[in-house]
Amino acid sequence: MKKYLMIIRNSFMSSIIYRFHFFYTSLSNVFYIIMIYFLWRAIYKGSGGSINGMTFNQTFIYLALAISIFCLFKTWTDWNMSYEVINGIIVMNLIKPMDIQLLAMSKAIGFVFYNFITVTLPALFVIIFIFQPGEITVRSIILSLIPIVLAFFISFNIDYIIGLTSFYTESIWGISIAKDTIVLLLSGALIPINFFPEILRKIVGLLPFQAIYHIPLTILISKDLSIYEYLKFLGIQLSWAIALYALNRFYYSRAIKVVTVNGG
Amino acid sequence: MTMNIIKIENLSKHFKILKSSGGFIGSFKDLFSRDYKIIKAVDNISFKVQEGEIIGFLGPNGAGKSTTIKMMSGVLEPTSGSIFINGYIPYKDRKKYVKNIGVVFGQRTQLWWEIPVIESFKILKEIYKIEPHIYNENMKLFNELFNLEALYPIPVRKLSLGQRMLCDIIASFLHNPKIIFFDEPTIGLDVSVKNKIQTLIKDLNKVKKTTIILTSHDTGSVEALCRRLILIDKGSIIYDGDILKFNRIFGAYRTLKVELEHLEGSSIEVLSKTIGERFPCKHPIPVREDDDGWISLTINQDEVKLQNVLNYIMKEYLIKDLKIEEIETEDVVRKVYEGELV
Amino acid sequence: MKTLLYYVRLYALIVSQYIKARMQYRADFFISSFGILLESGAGFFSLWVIFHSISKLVGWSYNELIFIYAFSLLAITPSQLFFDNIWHLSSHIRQGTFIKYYFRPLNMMFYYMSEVFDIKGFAKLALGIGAFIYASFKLGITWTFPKFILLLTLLFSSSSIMISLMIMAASTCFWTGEASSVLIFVFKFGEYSRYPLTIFNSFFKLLFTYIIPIGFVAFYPSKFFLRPTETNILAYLSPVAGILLFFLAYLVWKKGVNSWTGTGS
Repeated sequence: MKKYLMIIRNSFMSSIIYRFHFFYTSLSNVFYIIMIYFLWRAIYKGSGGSINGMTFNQTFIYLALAISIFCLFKTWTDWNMSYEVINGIIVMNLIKPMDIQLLAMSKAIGFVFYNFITVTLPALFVIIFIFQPGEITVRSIILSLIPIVLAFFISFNIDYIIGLTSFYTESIWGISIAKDTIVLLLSGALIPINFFPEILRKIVGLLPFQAIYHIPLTILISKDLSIYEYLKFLGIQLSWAIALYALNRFYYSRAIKVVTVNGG
Repeated sequence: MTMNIIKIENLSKHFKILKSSGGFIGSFKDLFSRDYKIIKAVDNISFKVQEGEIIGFLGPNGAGKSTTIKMMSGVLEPTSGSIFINGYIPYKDRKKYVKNIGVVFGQRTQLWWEIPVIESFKILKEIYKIEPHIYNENMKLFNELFNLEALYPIPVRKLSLGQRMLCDIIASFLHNPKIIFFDEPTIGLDVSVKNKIQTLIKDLNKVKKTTIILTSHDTGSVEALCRRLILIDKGSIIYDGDILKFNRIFGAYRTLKVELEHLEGSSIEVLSKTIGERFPCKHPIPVREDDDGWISLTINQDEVKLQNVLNYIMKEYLIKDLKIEEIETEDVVRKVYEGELV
Repeated sequence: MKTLLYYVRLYALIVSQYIKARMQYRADFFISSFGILLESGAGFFSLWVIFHSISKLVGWSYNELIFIYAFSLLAITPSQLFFDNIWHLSSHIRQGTFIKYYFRPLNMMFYYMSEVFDIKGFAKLALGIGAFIYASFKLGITWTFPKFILLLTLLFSSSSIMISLMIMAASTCFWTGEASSVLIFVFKFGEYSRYPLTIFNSFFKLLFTYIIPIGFVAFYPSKFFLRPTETNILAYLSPVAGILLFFLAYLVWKKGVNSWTGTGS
């Protein structure tokens, strides 16, 4: 267990060394939130306060938090795996006495801590102190902690599965971009699901992506969430977490057999 | 008298490095720190080189070799001192200066990675505006010395390290430069490829009278190619002279490396003492433990027969594995400081 | 003139070989092109969804927004096709492999950029052209020859602005050793250029006109064609902004190249 903690620590520390990266990533995210603010303010202008059942405030908080979660979970797991395969480092890791996936997840967790400090905290600061949303209470924050952990786990498994495809194609860029775009779009992180036409809303409900964004976000900004609703959300997340984990392990055992190492 | 194609006087290069505090808290502190320290990578060196010479730069890691080469090739601006090469001040007239030099890095190719070898050569022909008859002449020469044709259609990324190095070396001669800098060209290569490379460089130097500056960690390559040796340590030149003298003194040295079964820490002193008593020399045989757990002994075969030392060790200890290598640069440097090469 | 010809011929030679080699990676080409289409397409999709619920965005219609978005795609494509190697600058710097660019009698920026030609940019180009034609048709814009020349000039200056901003962003790694965060930062602004500047308050309007001039990438040039009566002096400055900014970017690059000390002994 200790060695995984060490990896988390190292991953975190090696990120912090580049101080400009720290600065620009935070600033980039803050600008994005500003961008969302102005864009949706323009969308809501002349609309009479509510569109598709959401006020401007609700939409804005929702989207600003969504992008903060996206940045929080951006751990480059899929990229690292592809890099390792292409450069043959994967063999070194296979030899080490550590479970490869646990290794990857530890690295990812280190990254999450880094992302939390550089991106999520400043964003939360901007959102909470400048916009003072009444929707976010201490209660909703505490309730959303487990869903966020589950969301990370789901997101990690998706990343890992995408990374595994690099075993087959040795190319990751297009797949990763496609994954990011699809996840963002279909999870309601770019546009709230309420805005989607009816058919799309139904499809999206069947996919795991809303378990990463829509569910924790709804919990975070819902003032009075009933126990029933909360448990239902947790149930959906858990099912997806287990399903994706199973898919992951299955895919992994097939992919390992196909490892072609190049380099030299 | 041949002209000095390289003239270097009182050359120095200092670097400012950010001081880094260690540990977890330290990395937070460093985000805001402005603490620098000055490193004197090259400290007041001077030397001259005549046209057509092959000279070797030898020295441990961090000695200042690469920094010197970078200044000579026009990449780095010196902190002080002067460099004149081929009538240019390298740093000042880079584009013009570079038309007449070649640079080859060990392990890193300067050819175009994805495309066939021959296409890289064609691109070089365009870049250096090489006259067609010169290009053809050179390609013919390269094929005679080393069957380059066999590699024409192969993309550089598919070549082995040895093949890649050979192509890079050949490519560096294509535009008939006056000087070529070779930086660790034999690193990571096996003996047969090393020999091929050494022969190639020697032959091309003979035909084209190219001045060659060879930087290497590998004493063997330097000995094979160079008539003159410049030894650099801690930014200064500690020896600049004939390599025959160097060979005479160090040629007899061998490093015997053994991996012993069951050797505890204090036993190394014991081993060192007993070796020193049984095999007395002008300078006692250095016995060291390397990072990988092996024991190194540097033996001067003119004074002590390596076989005798080996027999003794085999009698007293259980040997798991052994290697015999040429003397290492660090040992050469140490011996120069001890006064063996003056 | 002779030098220009020299560089053009050299570029054609290098890039044609590069494309030939890259086309052997069939799967990668199709997957990457698909990824790019998806990413750019998501923008159009978002617009479509939004306009299900509203009819005008600060006075601009759906088709007008498509026009501006398509314009921005066309403006960003050249930087992707010709200058894609900029994304690898920090790893070349950190691993020391950047040093090889000093040793040929070539302009270093040319040598560096000529190494990579991003063919998947063609997918973005195709999407941009398609959307642009669609929007012009829906808006009933008639394309006369002078209008077309104006379009090309404005696209040229817009892409020059994007390229210059990216080069300046990447050049920071000569000093800091790291560039990806700055590059992403600037690249995102390029993506924001697809929206009308009028959604912003005056502070940001000024920021995006004079400091980080993304207004000149798509919005102001588009106004020439969408609201010809509304264009102000600023829009005529687009080509000037483009050229000046490129000179500035080149100076920053040169400064970086000269001050980079490299790693190792």
